[in-house]
Amino acid sequence: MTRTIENLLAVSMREEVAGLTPAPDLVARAARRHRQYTRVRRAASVTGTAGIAAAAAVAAITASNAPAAAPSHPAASHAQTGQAARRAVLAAQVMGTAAAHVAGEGVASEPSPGQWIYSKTVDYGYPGIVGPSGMVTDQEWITFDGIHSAYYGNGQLVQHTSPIPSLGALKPWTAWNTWPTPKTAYDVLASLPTSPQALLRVIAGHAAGQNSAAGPFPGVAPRTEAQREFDYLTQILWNAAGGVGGPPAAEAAAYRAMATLPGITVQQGIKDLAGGQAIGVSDDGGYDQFLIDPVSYQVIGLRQLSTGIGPMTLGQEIAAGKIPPRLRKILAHPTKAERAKIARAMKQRPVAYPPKGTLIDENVHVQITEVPAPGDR
Amino acid sequence: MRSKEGFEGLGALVADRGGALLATATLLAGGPAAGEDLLQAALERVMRHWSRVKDEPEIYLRRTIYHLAVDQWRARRRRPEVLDETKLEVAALRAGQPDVTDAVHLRLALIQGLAQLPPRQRAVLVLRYWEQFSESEAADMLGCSLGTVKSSASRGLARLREITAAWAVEDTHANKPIVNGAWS
Repeated sequence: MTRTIENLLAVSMREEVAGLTPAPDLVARAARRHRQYTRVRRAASVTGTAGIAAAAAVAAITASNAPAAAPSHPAASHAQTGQAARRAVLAAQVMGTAAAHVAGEGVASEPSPGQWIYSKTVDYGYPGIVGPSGMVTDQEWITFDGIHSAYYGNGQLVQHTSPIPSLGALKPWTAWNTWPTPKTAYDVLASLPTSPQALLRVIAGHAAGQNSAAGPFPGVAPRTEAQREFDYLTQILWNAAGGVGGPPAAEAAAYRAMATLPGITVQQGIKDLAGGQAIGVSDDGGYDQFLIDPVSYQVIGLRQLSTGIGPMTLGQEIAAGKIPPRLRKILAHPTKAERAKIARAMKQRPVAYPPKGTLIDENVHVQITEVPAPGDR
Repeated sequence: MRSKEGFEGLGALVADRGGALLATATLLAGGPAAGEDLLQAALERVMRHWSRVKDEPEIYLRRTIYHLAVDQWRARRRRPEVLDETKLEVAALRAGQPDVTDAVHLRLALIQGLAQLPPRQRAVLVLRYWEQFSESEAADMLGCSLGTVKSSASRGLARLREITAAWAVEDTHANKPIVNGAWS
């Protein structure tokens, strides 16, 4: 009887993996970790209606109205100039205070890679706009290097090990770009120059290569270079905040550098979802903010308010002459089934987008503590 | 699941194709637990690039599983977790007894042998003999040359032939028809 090695291997593999089923919460687990470590500009991505994959992604996103202007930026007219200048001075003052504070009171030393960190986080997304379910409170444990994590599922502490490569030999930027964790964020902050100009030059180089996540909606001004730099620095600070914060001098330098970016404003007296006070720092007049604690001046959260402008429906996009590139091919030669789906998508009517100023997304740490082991608080 | 960024398509994909995806990840990682970790890592990676890949999540997810297995998994864990020399030796000792359990031992030896191979050789064998990809499709999936696929496959098979020599597996070049399950 002939038994080639290829044949035996094929059959062995089939038998070895027959009947495997992933854990039912696998995608949810991945999403948790993704949410924990990746901060992207979550410009309200709603999906859900039927359609070809591409059409659905576009068509299901709906807008309140035809495109309108971008959220107001400072210095548009004479009347606004004085106000913008006052805002800039206030931002510089607050960020200066924050920088001085964290420089003196920040993290004493870098935790060991295996140090467990407990976090309790309140997370809100406007139902139907940012996720389906409103507000949730998450408790999670993670090691500083991000390799081990734990959470309660069905009353039991579930531990997970992530196949993060050994990043030790990599340069901080390579490690951070390979896997964003509290440690890689901490290390990349530590590697930054302390002068604001030099720091922003480094950030600009990395921010330029960034995919701008969901991207601005048609009708909303594309993000400026300064805004991309702000986003990128925010992303690093937020990931460091998922651990114990950044190294003090580097965190202070990041705050000082942010204060020099044009259009940065601060919003004081914010009450966050955990009931605490927070200061918002924003690059778009207060719609997209990161939150800092007014006592410790550490980053504690991210917050997004509606600009009142939602994405257009597929029909609106096509009417406006903005066919998404990924749809162009499908629209040029649709199959019969695709044609029907496109027709349905074109008929879809825009749904109301939350009014300007409505909270649509917030993620705030109630507690972040180093603990001896998962399950400890 | 609270899919804040709108990963609904991914949930449906895993619900629909999860078994096959986990099977691939298990063969690449060397065991079901490690396979699930690999699959989860690939899902996280896909989520990070969701806006770019949501039109074709399965293609990207599969590619990511292979790339993580070949490039990154190796860096953390040079040898897969199921590697068990004792089991292999026991299996080899029993090889002299051609009974029904013989097939089980041979399978065990092959799967463990596969898990011991360098990651790229393992990935090529999984692509060729689990996914039934052609050599050029395998090269495309791994982003390497056809020559690399050929040499990886031939080295990997040679090693497995050594491991299973006790079972007197015939040489590939015998060019006999393949009959699945012929030994059992």
